[in-house]
Amino acid sequence: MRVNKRLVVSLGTLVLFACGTNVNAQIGLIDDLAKISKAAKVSKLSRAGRLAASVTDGAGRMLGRVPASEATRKAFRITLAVAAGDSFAALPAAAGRLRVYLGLESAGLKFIADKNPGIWDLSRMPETRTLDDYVNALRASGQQVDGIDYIVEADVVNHPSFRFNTTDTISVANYAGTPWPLRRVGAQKYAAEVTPSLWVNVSERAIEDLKHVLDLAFDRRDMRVATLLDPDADVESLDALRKATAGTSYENIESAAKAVSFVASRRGRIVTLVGHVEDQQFVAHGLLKEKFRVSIPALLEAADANDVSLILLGCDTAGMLSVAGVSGRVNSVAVASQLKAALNTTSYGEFLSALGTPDLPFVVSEDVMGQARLVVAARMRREAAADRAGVLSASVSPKLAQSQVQNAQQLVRSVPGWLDETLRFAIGVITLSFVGALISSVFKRSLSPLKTTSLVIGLILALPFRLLVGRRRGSNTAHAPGE
Amino acid sequence: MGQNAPRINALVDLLNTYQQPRLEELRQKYPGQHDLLNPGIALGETHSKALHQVYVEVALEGLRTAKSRVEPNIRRLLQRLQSAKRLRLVGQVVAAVTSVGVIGAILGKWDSTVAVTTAVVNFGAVLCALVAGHLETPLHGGKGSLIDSFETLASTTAEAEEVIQELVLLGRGGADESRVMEQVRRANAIAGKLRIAERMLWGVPQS
Repeated sequence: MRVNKRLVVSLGTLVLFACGTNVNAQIGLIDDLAKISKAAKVSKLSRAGRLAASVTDGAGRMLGRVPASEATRKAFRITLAVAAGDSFAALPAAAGRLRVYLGLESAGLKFIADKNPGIWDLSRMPETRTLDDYVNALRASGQQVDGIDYIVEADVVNHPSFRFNTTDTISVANYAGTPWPLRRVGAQKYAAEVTPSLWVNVSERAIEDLKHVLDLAFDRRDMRVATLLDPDADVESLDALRKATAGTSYENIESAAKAVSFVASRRGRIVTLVGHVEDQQFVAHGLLKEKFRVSIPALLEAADANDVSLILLGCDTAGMLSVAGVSGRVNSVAVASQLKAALNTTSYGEFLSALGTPDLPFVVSEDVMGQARLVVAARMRREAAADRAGVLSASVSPKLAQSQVQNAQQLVRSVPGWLDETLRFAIGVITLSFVGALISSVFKRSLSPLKTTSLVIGLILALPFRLLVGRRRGSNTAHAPGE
Repeated sequence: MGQNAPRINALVDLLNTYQQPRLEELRQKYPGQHDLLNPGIALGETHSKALHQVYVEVALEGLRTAKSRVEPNIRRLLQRLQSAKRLRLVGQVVAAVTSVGVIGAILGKWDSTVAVTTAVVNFGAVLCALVAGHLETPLHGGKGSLIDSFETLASTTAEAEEVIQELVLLGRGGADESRVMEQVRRANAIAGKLRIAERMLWGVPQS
């Protein structure tokens, strides 16, 4: 009976470990899922904690890390006047220029001028009482007004009522500090200038995502770089890019189908594609004729379907909708040098800034930073702990941040790396031992090799447990006389 | 230029490697054309009519440089192939002799020192064959063999001369721009092929 039990245990263990690779993979999968879930939770808490920590000061003023918009003002119960006052404090006044803060309230566009703290609703005011009238009135009273420095909230930029003159300047309201100057990218897009070499497409979501992403630690292992160039025609460019990406996963792609499958198979990674761009397509030119072309929308679609953050380095890629790329004409060797500098940075803020230059800024889109959403006031109010200093945010972590969190192990891993590796190694050794024992059993026509293997492995596995129990018993015994 | 302007990156790269002062002169002569006259390619479309003369000058300079590079490259190629052949022959002769020696040492129960020495010499002869094989293959990966690069080098002089003549003639007669640009394309292709052949012979330049 005892022998039978051992036999059953041996065979059961053998069946279990014969699928060692599969089990190994399953453990990896479970581990990954646990990591994702835990990292996402920690990320949320960390982000919410930072919001809470930086959102208020002693006087109850909002300080940073929240984009200025109608939703955030409502969520944090900040009035337009307070938001405007904070922005005016951050943006120095220039002689002869009027500073005007614009925000939406109750679907109407309202403004606050720094020389008159009253709020005027442009949409409801009689035609004669417009901002122009206000400026004219100031001029009539003897004040010099050469132009207006607008500070606008993110949701105002694309508002149809918003018009400005060529002498005016526009900045995007940013509670974290100095408002960001507004720049035009291509014919259809506006971007806020975070630094001279890093711009962000203006939308509430993009600004929020960017603020979160900027501080995250950058790890070049998150990055996959590919070039779409001809190895015969673009020798010097490929040399420069190969050197620039030393130590990073890099390959040159030589067909359109491979380009799409390359992007589609890099789930959860940041893929940077470098190539010659014509009419929303990457085109690889050979020495005498075109080699292949691949549509950028097809690449974006593949990236979106597979949670890939796509960065495109080619001329004027930033002008395309939903694309993070360069604004202006770039040279392949210059791009290689920028990429090299970017890959050696330590935070995403530095990485994204290094991809651009003051002449050719890098423009970040909200798509590259993921599908993060800022939870609007209505939802925040439903949260039981909705309070200015409480944990208010429950938005989804951006794709980029999430993959970064997972891959760089910036936050918490459910299983430490060394333990993960040790377990994988142990499972491999056990599987091999059992396979060897099985083969030996077949040749010997006896179950003894299997039994012996099970016994030895059982003893080894039980050893840490026995040691633990032994230590506890020992400590209990040691304390007993004192008690 | 209705269509995309031709690429001249291979020509510029050639000048940048062998004729830097001349390239610098061109940069100073055409200060607004740094995009064209710097190594690498513009990662976007190039449409401009004002650049016609720059293209022609770069093509002519590049082709002259290409022609001047043919002789040292052929010399290098012949040197490598000759060395390979000589090494292979010496190696094979030595290997044949020493292999007989090794067999004799084993069967005739010679002194162990003699046997070991013969075996070491035999090993050296085998290494000669390996080195010869290395010399006969391109130093830098890519399509084709050293024989292909010989053909490229042999045709470079004739092709370059032909394109130079064409460009000079077209320059005199105020010819159709598309014909000029077609010749510039050919010039860049010649420089590109020469560049590949050079990498096979000399390896990747360490800059």
